[in-house]
Amino acid sequence: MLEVMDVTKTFKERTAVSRVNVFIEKGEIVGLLGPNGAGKSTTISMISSLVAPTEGEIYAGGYSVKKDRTHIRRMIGVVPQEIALFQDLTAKENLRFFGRAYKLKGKLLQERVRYVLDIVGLTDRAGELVKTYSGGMKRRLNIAVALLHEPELLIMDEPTVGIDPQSRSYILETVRELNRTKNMTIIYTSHYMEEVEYLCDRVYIMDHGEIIAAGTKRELKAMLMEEDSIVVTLSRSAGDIAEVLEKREDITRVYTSGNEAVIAAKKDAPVLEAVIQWTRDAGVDIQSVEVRSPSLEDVFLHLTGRTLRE
Amino acid sequence: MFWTMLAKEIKQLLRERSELLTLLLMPIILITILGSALQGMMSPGAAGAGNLETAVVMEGTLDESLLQLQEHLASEGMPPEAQEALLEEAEQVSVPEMFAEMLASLEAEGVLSVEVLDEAGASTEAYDGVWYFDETYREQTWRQMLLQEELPDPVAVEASGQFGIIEGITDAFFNELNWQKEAAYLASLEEEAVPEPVQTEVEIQQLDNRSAITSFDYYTAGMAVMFVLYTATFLASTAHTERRSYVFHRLLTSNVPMWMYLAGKGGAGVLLALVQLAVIFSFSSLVFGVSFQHAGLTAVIAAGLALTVGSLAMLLTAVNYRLRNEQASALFASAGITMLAFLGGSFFNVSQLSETVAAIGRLLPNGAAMQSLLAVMGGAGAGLIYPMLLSISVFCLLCAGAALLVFPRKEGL
Repeated sequence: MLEVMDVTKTFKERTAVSRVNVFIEKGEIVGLLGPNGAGKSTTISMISSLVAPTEGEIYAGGYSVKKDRTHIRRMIGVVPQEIALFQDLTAKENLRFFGRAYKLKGKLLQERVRYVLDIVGLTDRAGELVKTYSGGMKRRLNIAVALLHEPELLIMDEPTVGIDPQSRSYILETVRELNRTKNMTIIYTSHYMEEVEYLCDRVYIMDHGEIIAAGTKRELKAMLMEEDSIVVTLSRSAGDIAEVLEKREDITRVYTSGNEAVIAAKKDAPVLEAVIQWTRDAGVDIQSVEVRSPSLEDVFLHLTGRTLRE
Repeated sequence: MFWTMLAKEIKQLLRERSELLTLLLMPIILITILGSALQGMMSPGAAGAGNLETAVVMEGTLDESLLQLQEHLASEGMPPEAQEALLEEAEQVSVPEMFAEMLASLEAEGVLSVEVLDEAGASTEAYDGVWYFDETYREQTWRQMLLQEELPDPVAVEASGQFGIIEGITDAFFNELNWQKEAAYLASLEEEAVPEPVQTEVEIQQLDNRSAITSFDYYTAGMAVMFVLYTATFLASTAHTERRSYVFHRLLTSNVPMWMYLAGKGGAGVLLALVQLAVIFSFSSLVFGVSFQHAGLTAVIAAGLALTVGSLAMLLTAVNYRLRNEQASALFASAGITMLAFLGGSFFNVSQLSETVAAIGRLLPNGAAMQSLLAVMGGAGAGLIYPMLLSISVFCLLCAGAALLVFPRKEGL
């Protein structure tokens, strides 16, 4: 369905994306993970035919992004990270406008507008101005616009940024449903790891413009099979705990953020004892301790030394 | 898609109250305030006093008139010595010559230009004001002043759109620079009693169908050509918002060509400007009695102005996209329009300041449109709007061409 082959994008002196390879089969939901500035949006812009690659080739459904831009644009739907809607128009007016842009007319346009409004659960509010919508409703309408022309490939760039848990859950279910019922191929970028874990069959992890890991969730987590993740919440800042604990051989790395410390340690290593000793020395209380299996977040941390939200 | 974009722009504007206030209410308020405040001071032709072309038509010469007076005196049986003395006095107080002298002094001050015509060459169509003194006028005024005979026939005056100034000059001469002074002088020479002031009548007619321009006319034209430009900045500003919010990218991914987007902005500019002008003109016409005389020519001017707005909207949109910010349209809204309005004469007639500045103003599309509107309001024919059409055509082509060149074609939007 989609082949991104050795694609590089350079803006003047800066290389935003370097030799990226992505291959997606029809009907797959694939996650593109990475922190801000990792190159996800540039990659998506190139797949969407908005930005031309400096090097490499992209094919979608057999069409080249460079040569068959019109075909490519007909078969993809893009949900941008921004709320790409006219705030002074109603939801229905927005959908009609973009529907006409997709060359839909008359009854077909009316049907498609009704259909996508139903999918995103906005039928009852379709006559209200977008600027009166909540963030979650705007996000849902943002998705609806991309579905108007029944795309084969749906590209979703951070579609749940800044919304309430209820709307997020609604959007995730909608994405799953589209994939299940329409066999729609979906590229989903996010820095919410749990969304990617929930939705995606396979994941590409990007950092500094490069793909640093790719595979199914199981394959990626297998990188950390020999580790446990211990999350310790303290009564105050985790301070120099990392410096102290990382001296131990059975601890791979320690990541601290505010009152929380995430300790990656060799499986079954007695690290709790060391943590308790440090809290005693530092005069800090432990509020909670959680031992968990490695997540994609841990994989990312393992690969980059940073969390996704940094 | 083009019509869809037009409909979208109109809906957006109708829901933007602050923009509606700027585009429609502000010009109406300013027309009301400025028109009322300057109603007394400005007889708008007043606006163009410096450009006033006038003529004095004198039928017959002074010598011929003196000869006629002499014949009259002889027929009355006046002794030759008395005739000679009276003819000398008459030569000193010939009204047409005194009037022409007064106009010449105004010309020397740069207030107007004047030509003295005799009957044969009296083609007066090109003048803003023309005073006619028929061949009997001198003799009649002499006989009234010196012999206390009947009143002379009225002076015929024809005035164009600069009606107010012509009327003022005429009044000033015949009433305030009065005959009484001259008569007193004459009386003192003869050591006689001061005679009654001479009552000279004046009939002022408007030239052809051209009428006086009122302050409401002036500011209707001035504010309309100024505020219509804000429509272009509104559209460029929404275009910037559409780029920032990725609406434009969304349109591109739906295969809408870039030129269609620009054309949509241009078309919306034309349509919105026409609606805006229609509202302003209708209001002024209904409330202040502003008359556009020739609906067809007014529509042509409005269409030209609307095309200007459309092409300007395209250019500002393109520059905003190129610079990736809103500075171009913001700068044009805050400083550019004010400058254009000043040069074009929206606030007052800049020819009073400098003829060069006024000439520049007339080259600008808003200035040219304003001059054309005033000409049409004054009853002028189609010939006067050709310079405007030329100015606007050049401006539109330049703007649209520049917009297509500047608008980013590829990536990095």
